[in-house]
Amino acid sequence: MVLKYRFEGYEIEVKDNEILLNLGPQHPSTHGLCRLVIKMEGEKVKEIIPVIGYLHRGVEKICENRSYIQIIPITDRMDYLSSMNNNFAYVLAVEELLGLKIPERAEYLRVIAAELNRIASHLLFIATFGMDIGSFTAFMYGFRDREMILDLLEEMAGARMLYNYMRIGGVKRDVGKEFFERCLKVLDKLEEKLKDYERFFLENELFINRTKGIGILKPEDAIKLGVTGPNLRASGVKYDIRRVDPYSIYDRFDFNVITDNGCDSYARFIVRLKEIKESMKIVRQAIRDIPEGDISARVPKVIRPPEGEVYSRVESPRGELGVYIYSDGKSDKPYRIKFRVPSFANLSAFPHFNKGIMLADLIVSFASIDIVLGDIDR
Amino acid sequence: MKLKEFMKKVSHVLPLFVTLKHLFMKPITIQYPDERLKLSKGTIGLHYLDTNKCIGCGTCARICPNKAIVLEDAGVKEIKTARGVIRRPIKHPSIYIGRCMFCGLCVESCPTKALEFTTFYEIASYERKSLYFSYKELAKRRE
Ligand code: SF4
Ligand code: SF4
Repeated sequence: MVLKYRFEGYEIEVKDNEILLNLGPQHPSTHGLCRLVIKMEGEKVKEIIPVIGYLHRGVEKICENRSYIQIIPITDRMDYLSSMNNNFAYVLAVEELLGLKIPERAEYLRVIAAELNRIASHLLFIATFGMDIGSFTAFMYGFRDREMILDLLEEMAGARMLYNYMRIGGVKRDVGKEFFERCLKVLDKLEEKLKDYERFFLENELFINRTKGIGILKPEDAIKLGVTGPNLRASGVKYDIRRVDPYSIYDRFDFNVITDNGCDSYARFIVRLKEIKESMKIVRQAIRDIPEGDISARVPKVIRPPEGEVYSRVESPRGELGVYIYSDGKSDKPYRIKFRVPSFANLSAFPHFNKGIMLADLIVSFASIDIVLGDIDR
Repeated sequence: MKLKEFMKKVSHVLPLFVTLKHLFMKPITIQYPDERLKLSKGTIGLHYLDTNKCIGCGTCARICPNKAIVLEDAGVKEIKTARGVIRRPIKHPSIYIGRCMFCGLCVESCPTKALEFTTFYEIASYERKSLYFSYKELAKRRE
């Protein structure tokens, strides 16, 4: 007998020896509200259909009714774990429309903020990944260390998660010398903790057995499916927008693009762990070189860009984040805004490279692509 | 070679040393209502309104992305101008804190710096009514 199920525009056939399993939307390891409909034969996954939209707030439409300045705090709320990078992508787009040149100090502050945010985001990945594979200790460590970075960002921007720090033409506020000293101290401390992480995960036979060879994403497939960020680099493709299309002042820093040829969940974990160190390197260089000066260019109170369209992209902790803006040249509100978010592409690729794995491994693989549902649904 | 094999066999115990080390560390969690975390200087909390400085221009209400600010009549006020003291009706901002996302645009845009942020953060409440902060309540100093 063949049963037919219809939902959300899909039709799925289930034979006698198969079952249809619903994972989520409220499941601790779906990182937000994502529903996965899984067709299984015994323990083997045969088909996965992600159902999204549970966190949809209509950000793009809201943005059409907000002035250019008012949109900045709204971009925070898309990928709430890397708000700084969202701000960054958006302000870069508007500045390109306006043809603004922003002061040096502001550029450096932006890079420091974005990289600190990347560290915080990757630490959270380590925490939740640990939790999903059944290691609650890792969860505690990750959150504890992220806290130190959040304290720094709090001093910078005033908030712990939704920073709203960057402005069109510069940044919100300046930080003093003591901040940089504190920042360096925190980075030193974090370096110590990272050694603990390495000892805790990478020398751990249990961890390796649980993650190696799970969810193999081949480089050709990854490129075809539009996967970006650490997930792509873990498939051995050397692609980082900070290097291939440097924005802001990233071309001045010396850092490596981390790649790994493992293509599996383990590789995705290692790439992120190593990227924390690269980000720390960038922050250290930025603190060393930061000049004195203004933190904001001269911008009119009401921003009315000329008619035109623009697409700018940054490397967010999850991949390529692009912002497309069309301005009709008449109003102080964008005519249309579109965000190209990395998590969406990564989740779309997920069903393709996980056919035939065990259900318990599916959770590991799902955790390893590190998606944020606020980002996908917008 | 022998050592390597042996290490591989016992490698799942090695992480235990990391956790053991943590056993002797100071706890980092706190008992919240009794103890409080020290906040950074620039933390954004509830707004504070200096009614002497506010000129009722309404810039804050216009810039708020969530339209959380309304201007409320605040009676007649004496204002010093170049031509002496004049009396005119004035409005002050009141905030629906439940709708506020603490973006800080109102504080930044205020031309007279009448609005500021305090570090007071315990605003949660049982009813929606008490999330409306009229200008009189905003003018109280809270730390
Ligand atoms: S608080 Fe500032 S911006 Fe708001 S009405 Fe008063 S003076 Fe104008
Ligand atoms: S902080 Fe932002 S949301 Fe809150 S009242 Fe001010 S402008 Fe509105």
